Amino acid sequence: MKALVYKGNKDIQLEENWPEPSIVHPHEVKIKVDFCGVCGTDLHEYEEGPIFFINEAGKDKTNVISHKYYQQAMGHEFCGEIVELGSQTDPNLKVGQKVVIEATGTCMDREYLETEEKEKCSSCAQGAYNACDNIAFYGLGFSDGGFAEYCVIGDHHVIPYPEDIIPVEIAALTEPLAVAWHGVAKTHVGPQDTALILGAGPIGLCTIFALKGHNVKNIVVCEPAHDRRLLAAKFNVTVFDPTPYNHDEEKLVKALLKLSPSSWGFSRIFDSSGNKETFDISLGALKTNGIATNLAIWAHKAMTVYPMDLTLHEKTLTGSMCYTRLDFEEVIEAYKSGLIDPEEVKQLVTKVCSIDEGVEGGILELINNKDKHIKILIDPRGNKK
Amino acid sequence: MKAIVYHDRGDVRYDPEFPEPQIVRPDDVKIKVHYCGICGSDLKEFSDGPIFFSEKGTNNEISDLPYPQCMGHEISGEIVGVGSEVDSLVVGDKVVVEVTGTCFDRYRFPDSPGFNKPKCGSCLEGHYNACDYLGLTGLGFTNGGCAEYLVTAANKAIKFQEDIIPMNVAALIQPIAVSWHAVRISHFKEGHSALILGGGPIGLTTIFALKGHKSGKIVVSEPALARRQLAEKLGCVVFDPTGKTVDECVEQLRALSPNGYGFHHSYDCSGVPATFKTSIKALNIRGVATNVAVWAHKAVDYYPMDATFSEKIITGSICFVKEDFEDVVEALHNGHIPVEEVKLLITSTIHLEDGVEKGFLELINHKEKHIKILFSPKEKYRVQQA
Repeated sequence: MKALVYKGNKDIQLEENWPEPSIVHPHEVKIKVDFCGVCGTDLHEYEEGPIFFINEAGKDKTNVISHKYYQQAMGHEFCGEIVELGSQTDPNLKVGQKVVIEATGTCMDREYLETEEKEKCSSCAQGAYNACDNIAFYGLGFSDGGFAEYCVIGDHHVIPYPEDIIPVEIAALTEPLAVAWHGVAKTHVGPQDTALILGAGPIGLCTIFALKGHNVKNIVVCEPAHDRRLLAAKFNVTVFDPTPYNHDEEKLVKALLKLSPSSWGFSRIFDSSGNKETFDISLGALKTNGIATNLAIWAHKAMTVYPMDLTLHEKTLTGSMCYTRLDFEEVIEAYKSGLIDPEEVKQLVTKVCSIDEGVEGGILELINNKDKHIKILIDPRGNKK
Repeated sequence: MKAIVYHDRGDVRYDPEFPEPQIVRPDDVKIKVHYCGICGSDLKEFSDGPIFFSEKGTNNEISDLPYPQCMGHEISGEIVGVGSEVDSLVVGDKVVVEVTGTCFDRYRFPDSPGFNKPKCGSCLEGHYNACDYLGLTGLGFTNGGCAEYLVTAANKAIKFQEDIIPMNVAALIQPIAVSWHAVRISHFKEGHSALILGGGPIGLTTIFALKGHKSGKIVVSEPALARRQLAEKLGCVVFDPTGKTVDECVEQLRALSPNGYGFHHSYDCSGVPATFKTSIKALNIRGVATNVAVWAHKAVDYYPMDATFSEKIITGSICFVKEDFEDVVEALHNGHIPVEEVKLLITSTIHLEDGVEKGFLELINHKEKHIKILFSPKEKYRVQQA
């Protein structure tokens, strides 16, 4: 079968005859991939990797949980159709079902892979596998992913979705929506809240939908790129252009505060950009008792905090990591209840690219023309269809 | 009346003839003070003030009152007079005083230039503990409890049962309320583990606030031996950070946490970069680090991924609200906070007239020898002249 395979730094290749995976363990499900999104993490692996692909703890460049060699089909934002079931899979799963994939590979997966018995890390032991010490993903080091025609997955990662409500063309976006959902849900946000999103890239935009899914009506999005602001504005949020303030943080905070109720600040702020300026704004524009959540992946770089800034107004600083299956289920529920509008989500897809052109038209296109795109989907059957 | 009065930085005086306050408003109550604790912020006003007190020559934003003013905000006493509209309290009731002075108190000062000002953002939503103009009775807002009498609003006085809570222990309800507020806003759940960084007065009252919340294991990290011994007496596991790097402290403290997973909660009651870092690194996944200390305006390094990878939560707690006092009184009444243990925090009780020398100066010069010094106007504490 065809697959886009990670071979190493700056080296992703289209393999025409990558071995088609088959079911080995009783809890495995074979999926025919419909679409798979390209994520910022994929680009990081290309430009700066291997990051997730070779976990330090793994020997001989294999994953520490699955023991699979790192040269794998990439892609972790995917949806597909069940084509075959293992002998002991979840009885709710049926051949022909449309499904999305919760893509983590953690201590929780040793069991279905029937590998050695080892003590779980402290996060997994407490059920928080999104923060597993050994986290990797299908398509990112753990096992073959969704830039391929077929994929074999543990049944607890497979979540059916209603095709009549979530069109197959956008189902792959359930994964980035789940990332945003996880961060939003953690803050116990509700209709009374006013939220500020810093950055309208894919995760920032998905955060709009996650907030709508929590009935939040007052949403402000701060984004310097014109086209992204334009897109965000289509989703009935207030958009803010920080560029005229020329990185003067004090003036920026003041201007943003004016967009909050009575200018007292936002009750929830989500940083999907991850730089010093957005960090400082995320504290400065927060009101008493507000929560600032980091959704971005940062370099190991020190920011500056004045503990009394947090204390005098009892502000909270936190971060959100990945997702669990529950987040996927809740995103699907939000579509069902009409809180997330598929017509809006559809607008995040700026290109669908056949797997044959996946490297040039997907990975490199996003690296070279970042501003032109939000989400590029890879169609693994592309030209063959 | 006798009082300890704040004049300026370095100038706190005992005054035997400070004017006795009188009931003037219909919701006023007059309280005869039994005991009043001296607090770290009193010492800061003495050594580095005015902080809560307004700038010299200016008046308090809410009350428009000037100082010199009686100090003291950890107060227990009894009602000796009530205004015409007070029906919740009667003469003889034993009370502690919720001492905040915020936008909510503007109504009491119709002559103040700010009388008609709208509430600040925090007060608008009821979080008056975080008021932009926060002052305290005894710290700039109105005359405090280092005196024979004080007058405050009836809704600031919280009744307690003297047969269960002795009057001297009641003066500690205020510092316990500071800790109670911190534990409450950190969403502490029954059985959770906690790390307290610093075994000074607030570190120790945090032990009681945690007991009141039915905590699991409590570990106290404190360099001073006497304070560690006291924490141990209160049933905590203690840790001496002396001579250890932050990374060593983190590793050894984590080993003391349940399953070695790290603590559900940490409370920074010291307020230095090392405790800030430890308060985050010693946490379990999704643990909460709460700052309870008052910091200088100083920046600390913070790595966003430290909180993100394990979804840790970093926050701070300021002051208290009336509910915290009511909760502490209830926890003392029902025994969740043992009165006999709270008593151990009182290291001496002195008469008001000795307050400057044996109170302020003693605490500034020999901090490590004391936890809580109480002032009292009672004759029995007067040192007999030879």
